[in-house]
Amino acid sequence: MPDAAPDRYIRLPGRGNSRKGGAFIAISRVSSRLWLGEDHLLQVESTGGYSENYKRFYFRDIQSICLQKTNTWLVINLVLGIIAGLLFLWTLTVRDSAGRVALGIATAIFGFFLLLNLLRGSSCICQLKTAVHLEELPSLRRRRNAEKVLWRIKPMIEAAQGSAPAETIASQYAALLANVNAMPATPGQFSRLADPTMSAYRSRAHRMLFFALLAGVVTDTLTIFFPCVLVVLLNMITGCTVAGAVVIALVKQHQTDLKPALRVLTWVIAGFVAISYVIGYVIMIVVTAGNELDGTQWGYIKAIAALRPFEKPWLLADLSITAALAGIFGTAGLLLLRQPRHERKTTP
Amino acid sequence: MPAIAQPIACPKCKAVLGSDFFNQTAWLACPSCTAELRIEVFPALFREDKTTLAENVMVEGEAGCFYHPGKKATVVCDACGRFLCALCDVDFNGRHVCPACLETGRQKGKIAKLQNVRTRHDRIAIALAVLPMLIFYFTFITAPAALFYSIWHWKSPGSIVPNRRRLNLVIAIIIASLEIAGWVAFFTWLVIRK
Repeated sequence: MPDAAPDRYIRLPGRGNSRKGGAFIAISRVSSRLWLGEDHLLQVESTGGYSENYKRFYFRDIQSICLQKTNTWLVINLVLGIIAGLLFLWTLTVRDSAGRVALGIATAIFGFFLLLNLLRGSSCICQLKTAVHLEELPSLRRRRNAEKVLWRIKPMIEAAQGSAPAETIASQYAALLANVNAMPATPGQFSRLADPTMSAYRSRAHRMLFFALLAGVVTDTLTIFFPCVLVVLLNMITGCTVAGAVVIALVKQHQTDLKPALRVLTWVIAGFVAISYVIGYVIMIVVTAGNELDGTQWGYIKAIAALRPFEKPWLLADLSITAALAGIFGTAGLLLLRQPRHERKTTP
Repeated sequence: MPAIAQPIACPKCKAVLGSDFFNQTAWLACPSCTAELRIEVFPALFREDKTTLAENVMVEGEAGCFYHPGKKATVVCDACGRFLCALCDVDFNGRHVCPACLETGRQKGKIAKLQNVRTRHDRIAIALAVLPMLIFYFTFITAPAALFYSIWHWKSPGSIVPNRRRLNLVIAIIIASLEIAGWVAFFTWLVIRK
């Protein structure tokens, strides 16, 4: 069958990534872009750059477009800003030239990503609804891009469907609500659409994570006051346990009704673990540069055990801050786990 | 059975929202979770799902559908010329086609509008030519492979959105040719040196 004239596409602003793999763990990252066709929006999802998947949203089928402001931009700025600031202060206090260079590079990397995020602007999520699906558009996760695209496609959707006055929409929507027996939300009282993808949280992964963090406090404290090979080994084992536990907790909390505060805390802990590992790596470089090691892990452990935290302020600062944060996160997590879920008033 | 339209809900807390949120220029806070929202609603939300039914049973002297011989034909397939009833008539780009022609077109990749997946052969060719240069011994095998792949897929369809497919293939061919030339020069030098 001969094809009709091929579509001409115009690239719309924004580019985003999403995970692919079904479960929490991403098998591959998918880069997503939106293109404007004559009568539809085309979402191009590129896997690794070697294969492209297409989704078409015809203007005549689009029922609604919903933008929701998110705090992602602010949180990323805050986290990157704090890390870059702390690393910068740390760089200033270090007298060791190798350490200063390593910390300077780490500061520059975090500073670069902070600047990049600042320039990209505030964040949002954009959902597009048709009769058969509700799709989040990963390329429109920045407010500036989402509003630009909305401003551009709204007249095209209205041209395809016709525009309705506000009164007509209100009356038709009231009929739709009556049809599905739902009430529009008011403060303190609202009905919620059922989310069939959520399941009940039944796992001990978070408890295990918070206890591992508290164990980390003990081993960090021991490393400060009684540094020896055994204590360093214990500290490393605890660090690995926390890293493993946080991954398990993130997997277990995926698509469950776990309290939002615990979810956020778990992600914060994941960030904390990642940063701890980066700092640990920097320390390893500094220690390796300052000592003639035999090139084995055992040699590195012995070199770390030989360091006296009270003689190395940067090591003391690292261990103290890590222990304090692990203690705060562990305690907060256990308290949140003990707290019963607060039920909000809902109507069926 | 026609699908029942679902009301608009807050993306964050899934609370059902009222019509006072729709088509506003300002951002409004969700009454449930206070997330700031901007919602554009279009008439398709209220459009009724019209189920197409086959025409009445054919009476003597009337043309019948090719796929449903007992049903009255209403249109002719623009691709194969078969008579179709209302149920078999697919409106595609303003033309009437039968499901069989549509499926054939999709399978043969002739209908771009039905294509859901495309392989970026140009990028594969570039990767095949460039990435092995990190361990350059591999280019002994990958350079001819990249050259062959680029030529083999010269006419294969690329992305359906504007892209630099041909340019990428040319770049891959040039890089692969240079690598092959390098190996030829190396072996020539070895022979001459002996």
